[in-house]
Amino acid sequence: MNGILKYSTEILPSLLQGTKLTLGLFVITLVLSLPIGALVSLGLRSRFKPLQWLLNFYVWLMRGTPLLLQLIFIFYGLPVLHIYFERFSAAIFAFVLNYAAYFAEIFRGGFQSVDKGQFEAARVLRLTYPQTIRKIVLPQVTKIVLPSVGNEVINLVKDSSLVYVIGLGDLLRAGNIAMTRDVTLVPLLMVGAIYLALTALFTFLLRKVEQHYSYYR
Amino acid sequence: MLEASKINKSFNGTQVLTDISLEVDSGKILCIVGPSGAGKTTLLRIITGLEQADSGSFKIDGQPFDPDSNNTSNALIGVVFQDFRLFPHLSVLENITLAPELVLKESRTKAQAKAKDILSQLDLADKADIYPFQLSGGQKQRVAIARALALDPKILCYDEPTSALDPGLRQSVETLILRLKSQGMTQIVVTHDMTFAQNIADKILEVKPAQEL
Repeated sequence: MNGILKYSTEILPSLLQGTKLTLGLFVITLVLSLPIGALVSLGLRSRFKPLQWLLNFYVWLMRGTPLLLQLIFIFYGLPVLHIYFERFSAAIFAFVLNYAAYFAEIFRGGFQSVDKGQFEAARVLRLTYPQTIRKIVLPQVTKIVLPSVGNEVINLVKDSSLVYVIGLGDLLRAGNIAMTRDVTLVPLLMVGAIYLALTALFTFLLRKVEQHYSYYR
Repeated sequence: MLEASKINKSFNGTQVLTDISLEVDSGKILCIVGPSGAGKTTLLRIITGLEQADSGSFKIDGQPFDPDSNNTSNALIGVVFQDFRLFPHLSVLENITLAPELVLKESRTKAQAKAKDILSQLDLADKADIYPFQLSGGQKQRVAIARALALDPKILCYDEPTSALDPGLRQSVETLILRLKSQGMTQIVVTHDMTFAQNIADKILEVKPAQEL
């Protein structure tokens, strides 16, 4: 038992190093894909048909193919066309493209469930369209989409382990290296525990945000 | 005050309004009555710029007026919807101050002072900081009226103001509308309730049901 404890403290720094990369990818992806997703969802509702088609195609493509394939395509496939990405940028690029598409679909549903009467009420009060979106629609959409967005946030924590395939040193890779080197299950159990701790933390934070929006019905 | 002449409107080949003309004088109440499906609400939506007439013209104070451009900073026509359409995420006070701040560019202090003044006139002074879901139907309606009044409209329009309320509240809506009249407000009220119309109207316009083309 003491041996396991000692071994755990020995490999913990490398696992935390991996956690840092996992979290970095997580935060950057969220910060970029949420606003892009919101913009895309507005575009999906655009009356300018070509834009709508283009964005629908993008969402279909991103949701219809595995994220793993997109990751491999961007990092290993695009160099064939002389487009080169550094590992981490490739990961960010793939994740943001993919998650923005999912968020766009969630927001599109959110926009649809805001009563059309709200737009008319804003219109007869002579609010401009941007004012209506910012002050009336977005706050209501935020409340509506929070549970679904929270789901994707938890997925993102776990999906981040896919960067393993392009050789990034994330949490899963750190654990895997230690396991093959030392022939023990302990690193994988620790990796699992860290993922669980992360998802528990984000679940808790998301609950808090949902509570914040529960002041009205 | 407001004059509309020969308003026509059809939806998908069904003529809803045929050569409707109306006139409402300053400080008076015009009731638009008729059975459901007769196009009363459509007429009101045209007057308030939510729908465009196929043909016809409008004048306000003798000047040509395009309801579709009811969005200049010169507030003209306020609307109280049948289902009120308050903003659920904003407090009662914020519902009222939103447009004056964003559209009339009033300072927050000024907008709030004005809003509180209107609220107390409508017996809602103690409701400023609560949210629409905490209000009764009648209170929601008065907040909707306060929200419209905050933009200093020349004309206030109501779509079926009695239909979403308990029957007992009809009397208080009448009292409120007549009180606004005594303060000089010009009002247009769409209703299917003939007694209600007769109790408040200076003039009644009857809209007949649609005819197939």
